[in-house]
Amino acid sequence: MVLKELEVLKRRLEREIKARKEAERILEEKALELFHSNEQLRKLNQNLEDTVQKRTRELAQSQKQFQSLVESAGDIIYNANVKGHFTYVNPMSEKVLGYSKEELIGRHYTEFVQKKYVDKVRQFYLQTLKNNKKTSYYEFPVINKKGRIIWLGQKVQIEYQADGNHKITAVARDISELVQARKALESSEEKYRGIINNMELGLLEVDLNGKITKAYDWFCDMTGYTAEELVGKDPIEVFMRPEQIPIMKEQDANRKRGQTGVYEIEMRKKNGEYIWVAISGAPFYNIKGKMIGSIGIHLDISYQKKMQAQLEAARYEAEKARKAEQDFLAYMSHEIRTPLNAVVGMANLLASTRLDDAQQVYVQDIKYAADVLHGLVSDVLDITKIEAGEVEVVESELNLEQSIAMLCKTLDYRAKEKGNKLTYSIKENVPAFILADRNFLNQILLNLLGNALKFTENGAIKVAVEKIGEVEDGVFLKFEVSDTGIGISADKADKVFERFKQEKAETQRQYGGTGLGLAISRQLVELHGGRIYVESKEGEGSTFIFSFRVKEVETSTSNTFVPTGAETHSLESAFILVAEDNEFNLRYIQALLDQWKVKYRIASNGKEAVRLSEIEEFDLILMDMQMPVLNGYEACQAIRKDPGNPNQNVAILALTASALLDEKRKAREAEMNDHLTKPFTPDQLYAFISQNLRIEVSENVNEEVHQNAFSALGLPKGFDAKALEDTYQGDIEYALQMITLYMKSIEEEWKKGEANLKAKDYKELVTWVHKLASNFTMVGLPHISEQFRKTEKELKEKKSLTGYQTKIEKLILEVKKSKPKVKELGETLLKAIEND
Amino acid sequence: MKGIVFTKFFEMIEEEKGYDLVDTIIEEVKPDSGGSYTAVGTYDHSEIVALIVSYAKHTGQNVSDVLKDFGKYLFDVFYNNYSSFFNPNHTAFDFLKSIDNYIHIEVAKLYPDAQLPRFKTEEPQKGTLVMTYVSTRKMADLAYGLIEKTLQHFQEEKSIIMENVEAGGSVVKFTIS
Ligand code: HEM
Repeated sequence: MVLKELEVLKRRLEREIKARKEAERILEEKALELFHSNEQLRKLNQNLEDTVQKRTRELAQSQKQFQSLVESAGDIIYNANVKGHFTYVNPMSEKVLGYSKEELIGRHYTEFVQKKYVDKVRQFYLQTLKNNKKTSYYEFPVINKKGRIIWLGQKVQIEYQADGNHKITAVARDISELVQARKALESSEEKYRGIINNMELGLLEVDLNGKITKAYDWFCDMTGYTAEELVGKDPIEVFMRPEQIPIMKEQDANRKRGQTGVYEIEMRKKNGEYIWVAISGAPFYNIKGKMIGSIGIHLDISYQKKMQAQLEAARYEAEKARKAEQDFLAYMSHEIRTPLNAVVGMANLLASTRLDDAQQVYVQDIKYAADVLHGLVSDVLDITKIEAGEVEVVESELNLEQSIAMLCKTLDYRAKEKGNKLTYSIKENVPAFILADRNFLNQILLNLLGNALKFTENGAIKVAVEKIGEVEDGVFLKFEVSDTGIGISADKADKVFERFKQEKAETQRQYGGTGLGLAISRQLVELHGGRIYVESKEGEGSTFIFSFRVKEVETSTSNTFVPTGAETHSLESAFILVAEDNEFNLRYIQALLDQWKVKYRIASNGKEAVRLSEIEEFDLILMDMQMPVLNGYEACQAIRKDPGNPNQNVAILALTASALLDEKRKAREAEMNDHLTKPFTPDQLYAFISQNLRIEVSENVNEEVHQNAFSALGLPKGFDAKALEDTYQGDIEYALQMITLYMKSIEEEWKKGEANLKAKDYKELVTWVHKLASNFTMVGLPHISEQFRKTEKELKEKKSLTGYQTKIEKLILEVKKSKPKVKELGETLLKAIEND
Repeated sequence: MKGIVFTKFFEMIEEEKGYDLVDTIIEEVKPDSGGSYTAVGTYDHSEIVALIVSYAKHTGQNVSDVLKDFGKYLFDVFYNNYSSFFNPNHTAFDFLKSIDNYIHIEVAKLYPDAQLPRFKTEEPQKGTLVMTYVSTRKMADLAYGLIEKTLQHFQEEKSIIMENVEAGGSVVKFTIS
């Protein structure tokens, strides 16, 4: 038993020990676990602390940054409590408002808002809070300490707090200038729209989709719609006919590209009627410059359109009538002139044959009657042409004195018939060569002289020309044609220039004529931009005066050295080709040429003319325009086009039958030199030929046939014998005169050049360069001329002197260098003359 | 099962029958853990069941009565060792209601590996408490002893009706009134 008890005890003890050890182990384990946990906790703590510290530092940093940003901001930045009292203001707030920080903190924002805006502003922010809006933007005026009104654009941010103490941060900017500009713009816009509206212009604004956004009163009045009916509608649908839509679309597209444009279009009114409007549409921009639509200004032009249509119809009728008249006249011209030409021509021929006295009178009567008839037809045709605007001014270079001399010579026999003395005088100040319409000037003078001759017996008729003024590119010339005839009564003096008005009805019976001559003269003068009037005393005579502007031509030959006039230029040496198919006319021309001892060949059509021109070289070709096979124009073109034709550049003169058709232009197009209307008097033909011969001779010298007098002289080096020959035609004496003149003036010329260059006077320099260019040709130095001409051309193109300083200096040097050389040339020529 | 349940069970046997019986049932059951238990340790739940069954066999009692007696014994243990869970102002019901939402929660904190039952409590009428025991360890009899002793402790005359909600005894309803 004891043993058993002992054993139980022993087992109990073992169990106790084991349990204790187990408990210790568990405790040890727990302790270790606890230690680890603690360790972990400590680390965690450390980490947490580090993080907190770092975060604190960062926060402080960013707060500092934020603070300095706020402090230095260009905008007003402030905080306010939920009631609207300032809790913080940045320096900019102080600056703009003019109050110190201390004065501002605690004050309510509405204290600074301009009185009349307070309610609106307060309402806005109450609403913002009520709707829990986090951000808002509003513009309102505040008054600063000095009493100035400042417009602020304010952004407010609200941080809502659970306790109701929401934090308010505001950023505001001074937008006074912007508001000012906006107001100005709006008011000016309104003003202009108001003005336009009052001007009875209908304004319509449409957005970018073309929908009406605003219709102004006048527009509504115009169309019969109310503004409400129009807003939101598409004007194309409301007002346009389907066929007009493409026009509108195009305009719209243009406007979208920012273009403005005016166009006329028909618009349908509300009542279905159509009105014509002129629409000027323009893009419409907002203040930021963004296009937001377009504005159309509509002007009711229905009345104008109606008038225009009526006028158009009337004009068409008038045009038709005029055309009919013209056609009739053209027909008449042709029908009358052809036989008339024959009558006049034959009478002229008859007059030049041996006739007894009675026959002589009959012939004169025939001639007179034919002249009257011809004058009548010509005058009627001329005035019709002028009035139809079919006459154009064709300017060509002409020698005024020569022209007048020729005219006087032509009329001389008529003057002598009535015992009149016909003279002319040209003042020295008149340029020798002018640019003018030769035919017109002739016709005016012919008319006036014809009149003077008609109304004067045993008296004196004088033509006088003088320069009465200078303008930029020409001169004003005054022409006087005076007579000692019957004169015109003062009260009729200004009526004589009207159509079909002769001074007295009986005058016409006594003196004949159509009464159109003066009307034509006036129209021609006016066409030249001039004016004409008459000074007269009844019984003592009349002076017809006209003046107009002509361009002055500076030719290489100056006034004093004009080659001699036509009288000295005999036609005897001339060789002429006459192309004419009308037998009467041909006989007339042949007879005249024979009288003048002119050699000629005859071609009876254009083709033959071309053929003959290929074989022989002529000094001149007279070409009828209306010829079979090849007409005059075609023949002329054929000759001009063929480089192998010896007459390629010869003067070709057109003989035209019709005064109505624009023969002149056609002739010019065919490169003809001049034209003469049939019928012509022997004097007219003589003048016509000799004038053109002269031009031909001076302009188209044929090198091979002309011997060069200058090349034979052995000119000093550098001089061009051909140029001298071209200028002086072998006349060495003449050349010497020119060279002497050159030597006299050359020093003055280069000094002038230097002075102009120093003064940088562009205009004077161009004139100088131009003048010297021709001088050099005359002294046989064309290559230097060329340099001057080139510079002249460039200067005229550039219109300034920039970059031409040294160039002109070089040219001046050329002038200086030329002096001793030209002197040498002069000596050579002098020697040649002396030896001769 | 926490070691304290084993040590207190052996303590009860030793007090009532002497250590020999403790030695006998340990020798008889031969638990895997070796039979030496410490209060702070944790052991397999099946060992306490086997020990209780062995004890009941040696004393000629049924297991249910042993568990009820052990419950009563445990109450005193708890009362002595965990006095802080007892509020002098509380009634028996207050105390019983606090097991599930306070006492056992604190126990779980103290011994994270403790396996505790859940109690759902409701008072359908004044003076009646219905407690529903839920546990896979099926030790409702232990709870019965604990409740019985609780009522005695608070000196409240109440009857306890115990009924199985789930046949195996993992869900048991106590009606205390
Ligand atoms: C101060 C009071 C109490 C304390 C400190 C306490 C503590 C404990 C402890 C430590 C266990 C062991 C758990 C384990 O080893 O896994 C346990 C289990 C248990 N307790 Fe409590 N308890 C208390 C009150 C009560 C009362 C009043 C009841 C009765 C209703 C009760 C019912 C139970 C039951 C039935 C178990 C067994 C395990 C189960 O059935 O799942 N306890 N208790």
